[in-house]
Formats: sequence, structure tokens, C-alpha cells
Amino acid sequence: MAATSVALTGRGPTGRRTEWEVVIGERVTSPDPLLRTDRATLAEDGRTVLRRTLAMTDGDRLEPAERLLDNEIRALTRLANRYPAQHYPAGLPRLIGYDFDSAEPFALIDDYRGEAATTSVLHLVTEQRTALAAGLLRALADLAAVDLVHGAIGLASIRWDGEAAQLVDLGHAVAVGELRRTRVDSPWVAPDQPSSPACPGDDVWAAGLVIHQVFTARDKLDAGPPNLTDEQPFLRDLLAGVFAPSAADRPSAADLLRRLAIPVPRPLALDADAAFQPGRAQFDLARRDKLRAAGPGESATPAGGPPAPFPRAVDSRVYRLVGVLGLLVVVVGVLLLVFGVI
Amino acid sequence: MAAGFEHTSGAPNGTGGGRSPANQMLCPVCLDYIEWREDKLFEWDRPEGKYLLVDLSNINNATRWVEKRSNCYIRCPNPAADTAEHYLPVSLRDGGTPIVIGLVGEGLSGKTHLLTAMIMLALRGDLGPLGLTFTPADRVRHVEFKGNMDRFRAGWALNATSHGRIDPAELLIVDGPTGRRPLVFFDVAGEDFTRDDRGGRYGRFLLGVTALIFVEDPALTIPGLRPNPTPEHRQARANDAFNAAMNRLRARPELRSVPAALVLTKSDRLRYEYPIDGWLRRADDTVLDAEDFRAETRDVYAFLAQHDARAAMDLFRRFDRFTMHFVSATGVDEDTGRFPRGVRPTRVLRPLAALLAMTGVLDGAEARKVGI
Repeated sequence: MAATSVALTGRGPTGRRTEWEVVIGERVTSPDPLLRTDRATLAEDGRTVLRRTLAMTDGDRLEPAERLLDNEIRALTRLANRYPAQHYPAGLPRLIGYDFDSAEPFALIDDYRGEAATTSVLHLVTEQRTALAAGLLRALADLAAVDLVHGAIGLASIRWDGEAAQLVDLGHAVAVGELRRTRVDSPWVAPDQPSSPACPGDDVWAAGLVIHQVFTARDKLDAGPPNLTDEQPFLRDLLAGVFAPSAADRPSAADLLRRLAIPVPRPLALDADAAFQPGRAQFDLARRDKLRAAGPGESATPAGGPPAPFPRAVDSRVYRLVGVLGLLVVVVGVLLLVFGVI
Repeated sequence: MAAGFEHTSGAPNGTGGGRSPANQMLCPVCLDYIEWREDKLFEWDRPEGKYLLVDLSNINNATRWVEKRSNCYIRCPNPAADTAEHYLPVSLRDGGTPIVIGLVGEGLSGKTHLLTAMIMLALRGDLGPLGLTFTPADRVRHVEFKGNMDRFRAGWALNATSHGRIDPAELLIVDGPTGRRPLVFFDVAGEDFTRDDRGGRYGRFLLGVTALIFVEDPALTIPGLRPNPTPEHRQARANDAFNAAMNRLRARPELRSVPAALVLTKSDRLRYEYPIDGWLRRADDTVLDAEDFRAETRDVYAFLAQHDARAAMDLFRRFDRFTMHFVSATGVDEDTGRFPRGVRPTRVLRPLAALLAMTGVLDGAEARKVGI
């Protein structure tokens, strides 16, 4: 197959405009038929990369395809911006650049390690199984630390090179609390995932199924979550609570790492909210000042405006007066009763 | 009954307001107060390309009369005699007081795309979950606007608002929980917002405006965000339109009671920046939630604060009820006059929903808290 050299214009992970010269190589399997993935070589340093593009340029499927690419770019740019380069998670893909505005949008990603963990990982020795489980859980913890949920964990989205695991294909990734705009067709997905806002527990369920498969060498998933009571104690303890019906009730990836007696270092992600706090605080002050200036009882709004934001002194005085009068009536009534007038 | 059927006055559902006993109403085109008279009715004659007098007096069938009348226009008397001849559809007469929404921003701000996207989605029924339906009030005017909508849908960039124009871009009827109201959108070039012509149309516009939308391209305000600095962008300057608006507001303090919104359009340029990435990915909500509007306003404000965009931040202080929004009319950036994969309007109806809540078209406890 002839290799084609292409000049790509887009942005680096931090948004800076950049250009790359790439030599496109062979087409490789895509996580979804709506996307196309080619292996390529970066001219500047010869390293192998993946170029992800839409599988079509128009038609009904264009929008769903765009959502997958957009999700992936969004997740990868978030990771790139929150993790300093020297602490970038080894178990997650690394973005080189992207474009989402042109007629042919793309993402350029560092080539994945090893092979897709399909049937090969079902025949590993114990140390390797543990290493794979730990690597997968570490990737989940790194995603959760920046409020991302992968949403499509399965054997196909895990890479294994004999020593370490990598969690890839973030086309369904969304932020915690978001509703999904893409449909995941996968037996590893928790039943409550499609209709609920994204939660790290979604990924824990799927990872739990993968870990169960790897440790029991099952090549097919059963319908429904595994019955852990029949399993060896090690697995039972590791996966306790992982298959709770509600995502919020499942243990975190960090919890599972601790169960494996693997030290969980503090995630080194930057706090994105910290940069925003001063501005938000300014807003709160400006709003407070505005409400105060509007004054109690004066809402200063057009017809149909809101009730006054602060309790009205006038109202409470009226209530007190009514209360006193009411009490007076009761007292007079009682006295009249006592003296037999009524 | 030689004279035909008497037209019953008064708006349905008791929404009529701001109308004096003398049957005066605000003309949404010239912004004069006029007396509505149907002694002369006109129809639009497409082959001739003009309005022609029509006589309904010999129609005896009540249903036919109503139907015929509903397609008619009156010629606005324009007492100030400062606007080109214009005709008003009778649908205006049958609604309540018009809601006049002014969109203010510079020519490059993306106003035209925003307005087109907003109206397109409103007419499509996207605010249905809030109980709002929109229909064109003036078929003739709508034909012109539809041309813009068609270009937009096909992925062509639209022309910017020209200077020196203060024209209604579109007239709609909104039917909602509080009844029926005409809705007029004015496209105001930011530089023109300062025109000092009390008594003239700009002056009357400010008197008659019911709500304001300030439209801003973040790259114009924030030098660091300019992707491909054009000659216009290259001048590092404060936002003239906003400064002009601020001057105008200082001179007319009563304007602070007009509900207003700031829209950062072209937010697609910030699509992968926190926290705009989250806001752009939320579906347009189907339930009115004042706290949600407040949270977004807070984040837009914080974003502006981060980039020291003082003029825009100042607007928040200047209006009693004010919301701020991250919006993208097109979803992606323009590529030499085209949007090659088509347009993906994102969050475009949020400012409209907020303004309809703040002007009382949407009622209820939640609506009353919006923008506070």
C-alpha cells in the first residue's frame, strides 16, 4: 500500500495552532464504524501515531460521528491540560493535536502500546493478571481525578504489552454528571449507565467485569453481573460492591487499588476550579452588592418581577401586630368565659 | 350588513397591556405609538411585489372573513414620518404588547448568525417543553428572513449587520402560558447604539425596548483568544460597542430595569476549555431553572474576570436582571465563508428563554428568580 504524506493543520493540546507533516500508513481497527483510524508516522521525529478521523463527510451519520471525535478530543485535551507532562498517566492515551472545525476534522494520538486485550489476556499468569488489573484501575483513578468517565471499558478498549495495560478509545468519554450523547453498544456496560448522568461507578462496573474475566479466564460474559459467592476469596473481596445496581454505591478505583495492596499516590492533576475561584468570588460579591442596592422591598424590576430578596421589616411588624391582637382576643374571650358572661 | 363584520378589539387571554383607551399601540417597526385602524386593509401581491388595497366588505361568510383578514396588513401611519413606508400584519393587533428585543453588538460579533439560529430553532419548536410556540407574524418579512435561515442551514456564512440600520430583523408571535405576544427582534449595530437622537428612531428604540441581548465574540474582547488575527482584530482595543452602551446607560439610568443578557457567541472556540466545555455540552434544558442560569452567569463572569474584560463585567452591575451565556450559533468555526460540515447551533435558545422569563412571558416562582 502506497504511503501518503499529508500536512495537517490544527491545534496542540493546549490550543496553540500547530502544523504536522505525517506519512499515513495502514488503516487499523476503529473502536466504532463511524470513525476511521490510520497509523501514521510523524515526519519531525519518526514516531508512530494514530490519526482518528470521521468515516464519512456528510449524511445522517455525520453528527453521531462528530460526537465521538469531539468526546475523545475533549477528554484528551482535559488530561493534557490537567496533568503536567512529566506526570501524564502512563495508562492513558496521549494527544498530539487535533482540529474540529475543518471539513476533515481529526485527532492525532500517540500510538497505543501492545495489543488489544481481547482473548490473549485470558491466559495470563497471576502476576500479569494483577498487573493488568492494577494498570486498568490506575487509569480509572487518573480519569476520575479529572472528573472524566470513560464509558466504554471492555477488552477491546484495553491494550496489553505483556507488562503494562493502557486504557484507550475515549470516544464515549464524558465529564462526571453529564448525560451521554452517544450510545455504547457493549456487554461490559452497567445497566444503569445509559439513562443516568455519568459517574465513575460506571467505569468501575465495566472494569470489574473485565477483571473477573481475566482472573477466571472466561472468554464470554454471562448475562448479568457475576455471582461472586462462588468465586475464590481473593476475587470476592476485590470485587465486593462493584456490581451494586446503582453507580453511586460502587467502590472507587482507588478503593480497589487499596484492596490489591497497591499504594495509591495522590493524583497529580491540576485543580481546574482553582483558577476560576477568584472570578466566581468576584461574581458573588458583585451580585451581593447589587441585591443590597436594590434594597429590602424594592426589587427594582419590571412588571412581574421577583419578590424582594430580603425579608421585609414591614411584613414582620405586621405579623407581630396581628399576633398581639389575636392573643388579646383570646385572652378577652377566656376572661369572659371565666366570668360566665358567655 | 354592508360594512362587513366589525373587528372585535382586545387581545385573547387577557394579555393586552400598554394600550390606551384611544386604541394606541406601539408599532414594532418605526417604534411610534399609532392608532390601529382597519378602514384600509392591504394584501401582499406577490406577482406585483407590493401591497394592494383589499375590500372585505362584501364577504358575508364569517369564517371566510376571519380567514381573509388574517392575511391582511395595515399601512402604519408613522406619525414621526422618519421611517420608510411599512405595513403591519393584523396578527400584531391580535396579540398583547410587543416584546421588543434588541441585539446589540459589533458587526463582527456574530449577531446575525446568533439571531438566525435562535429564530430557526424557536420556530422549529425547541422551546415547546417550556410551553412556548413561535410562529412568524409577518409572512412577507419572514420570506426574507427565511432566505437567511436557508443559507445558514446549508452551511453558508451570513453577512454582518450593516451600520446605520435599526430595523426589525424578524417579527414573531409567541404563544405561552401567559397568553400571546408579538415578539420583535431588532438588530442594532453596536456603534449605532450611541446615536444621540432623542425623538428619533434610536431614541424611541431605547424607550420602547423590552429586553436587550449584548452579543460578544470572546476573541474581540480577549486578545489572547484570537485564533487568526485579522486586520480588524489586530488593533488591541476595548469593546467599543460595550463602552458605547455603558455611556448610553449612564445617561439613561432607567434602562437598568430592562432585562438583559450577555451572550458570548462563538464559544465553540473555547469548546475544550474548562468550564466552557461542560456548558456547551449541556442540552438546552427542558425545565426552567433559575439556579442553572445563575451558575452559568457566574462562570461567564468568572471567565471574563480571568481575562480582565471589564466592560462586559460591568454590564452585570448596570442591569437589575441580567444573565450571561456561553453560546455557539454555528458549533464550529468558519472556514473561508463556509461551515463545511454544516452548522450545529449550541445553547442558542438559553438567552431567549431567560429573557422570556425575565419579561414575564414565562411566569411562576422560578421565572421570577431568573436573572437575579
